[in-house]
Amino acid sequence: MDVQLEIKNLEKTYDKKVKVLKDINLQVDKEEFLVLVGPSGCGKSTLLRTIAGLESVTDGCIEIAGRDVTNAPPADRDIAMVFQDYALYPHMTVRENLAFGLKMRKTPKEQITAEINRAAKMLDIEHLLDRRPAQLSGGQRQRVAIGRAIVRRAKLFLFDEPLSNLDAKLRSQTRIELADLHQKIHATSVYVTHDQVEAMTLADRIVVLNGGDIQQIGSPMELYQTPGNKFVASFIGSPNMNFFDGALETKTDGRRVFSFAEGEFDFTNAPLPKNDGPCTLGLRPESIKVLAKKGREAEGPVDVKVKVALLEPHGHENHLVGLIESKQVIVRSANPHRLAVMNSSKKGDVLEASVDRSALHWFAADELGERLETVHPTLN
Amino acid sequence: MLLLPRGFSMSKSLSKRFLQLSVIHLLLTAACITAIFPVARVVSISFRNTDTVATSDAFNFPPRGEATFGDYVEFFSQAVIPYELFEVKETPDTTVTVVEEDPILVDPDDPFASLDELDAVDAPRKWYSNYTDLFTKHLFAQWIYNSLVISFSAAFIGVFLAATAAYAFARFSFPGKKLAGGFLFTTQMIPAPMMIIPVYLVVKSLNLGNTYAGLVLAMSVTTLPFSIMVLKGYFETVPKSLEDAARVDGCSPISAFFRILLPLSTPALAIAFLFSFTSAWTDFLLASTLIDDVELRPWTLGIMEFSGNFDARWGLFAAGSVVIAIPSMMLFLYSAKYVVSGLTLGGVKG
Repeated sequence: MDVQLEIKNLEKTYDKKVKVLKDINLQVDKEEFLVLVGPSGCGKSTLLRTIAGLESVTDGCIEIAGRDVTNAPPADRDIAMVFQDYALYPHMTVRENLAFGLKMRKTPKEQITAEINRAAKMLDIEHLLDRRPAQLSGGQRQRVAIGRAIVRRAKLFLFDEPLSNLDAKLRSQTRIELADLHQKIHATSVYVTHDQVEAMTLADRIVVLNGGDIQQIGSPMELYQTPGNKFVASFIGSPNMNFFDGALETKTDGRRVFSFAEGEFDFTNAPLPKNDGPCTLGLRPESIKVLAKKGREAEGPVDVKVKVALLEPHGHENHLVGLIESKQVIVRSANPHRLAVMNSSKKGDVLEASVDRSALHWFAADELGERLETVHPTLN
Repeated sequence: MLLLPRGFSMSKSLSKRFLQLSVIHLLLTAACITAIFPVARVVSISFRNTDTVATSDAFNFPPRGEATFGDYVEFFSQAVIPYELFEVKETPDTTVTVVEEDPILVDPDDPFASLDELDAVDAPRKWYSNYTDLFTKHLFAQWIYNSLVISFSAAFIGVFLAATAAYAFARFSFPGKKLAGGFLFTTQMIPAPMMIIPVYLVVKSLNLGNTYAGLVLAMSVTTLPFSIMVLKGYFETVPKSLEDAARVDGCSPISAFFRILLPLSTPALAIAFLFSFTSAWTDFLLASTLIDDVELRPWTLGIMEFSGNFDARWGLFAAGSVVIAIPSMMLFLYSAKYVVSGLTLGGVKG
């Protein structure tokens, strides 16, 4: 696959002091949909703006379609960008907004008309072409902003949190449309968001950024199933992963036990890090399984007793905020039998739960919290 | 009370409200009269014969002695309404006598003979004579032309310079930005007469004394600080993402400024333009310092010719004032539609 965007050793420093991007290396393949995700202030928007040429680069280089554009102005990079606040030109009609980029590039008139019609049809905004942005709703403005990118047939599409100004319903609908659009036009895209749901649903690959550093690059499921460190583990997935700081030890009778301040788990037959010692255990909310009264859902060791603090019914699933002694954990389930148990519980009730041995995440106890390799006991 | 509908019983609070309204309206009426009276007076004088204005008792204010209310009414109405124009006068056959007393030798070959005739014959005075005299006997048309050229150039140049400077202040950070901004403010605090001599020296040293260019330069620069402040404030309200979008769409920073930012800033541009224009249009001080030639005078200097040391032709002066008010009024009415905010609404979220 051709590389459409390549970023090498990119650094960005503000005022010679604040380092916002630290040695970023990244490749985006042709027709790939790459999502940059991270908490606010992690440098994801800055990274996107340096790709666009709207911010200068302190060090490193950026290549688009094999051409070094590190110091090229935005106009010469053959990119299209969709902004968070849409950035439609208020004094122009929708048609003029769409035509502006083509006009600036001296495209023949017939071609401009054809491109506008194609984009308008694709986005279903044909009836809005002669209106001004002020006369459009938020969702319509967003479509026009995307249309402005489509007509350009640019080498690279950049999206800067394009859905964050839409209300929840419109956001999920537009998200689907964006995914659909990408399947139609196969534009190479870099998409910035702080919403991990958008990242998971849209991306071919996700780049998780924190503090100007790339934490991990991978497909959505890779990131979910094998997060590279504690930060990625906590950022990807909703509700958040539960973390237990503690230590792994081998008892004299050969049992391997993970003990933490509020309790301990007996993980004798589970895949575990090779060495004993302090580490952090990560458990996804669905890996803590509330035990039902009977049936398959009643099976499994009683690893932990969870005191109900709050129940959040979502209809198809429940989120239960519980306490293991004083430690707060979140438990999620969509299984009807487990739901029945959860729903019949009241605040203060104590539910028995089992931990899914196949979904344990182990991280080093240091600040970075890198993922620890595990070995299955039977393979030893 | 008579205006109230039948069957209307007036409660205490309503009568109080009525009284309040009456007082307010009385005050407002008085204010309106005070504001309109001078204008009406000027318009009325502009139709009068200069002699009748000068000798009129209208300047004896207030009416002396035991004045009745009627005296006041008469005084004010005389001041505003040029009664004498409505009196039917027997027109003396002056033309004939003049020709008899001072016959002109008409040379049939002289192409300008008819003009000589016109000069010699004092046309009978009409009610609008002050206005026609302005343009036939004086260089008033030239003065207005001068003023228009100077004011429009000064306003255009001033607004252009202010817009570019304001853009720099609003969007870029550069060393000394704060200092320069503060310095611009302080120049506004220096009274204009204090700057006259330095401005004169600068213009003189540029060899632009007694030219349009010198005056335009001085005028466009004096309104710069105000225009910069207005425009800078407005530019800061225009979202930066619009320019980013334009740059991604293929604009250079300069074309983004001209194609996106300026068209969106018409309200602020209109305000800056009007301010520069009116201050240039009504300027007397700079013009009197920098302009010597009669042909180059703006109307502010020219109109002073009518009120000389020995005679003040108030009729002409007033007619001139009325004429010069017309262009600026038209400009204000025309530009009112541009001075509407809210043009940037809808381009970005919101």
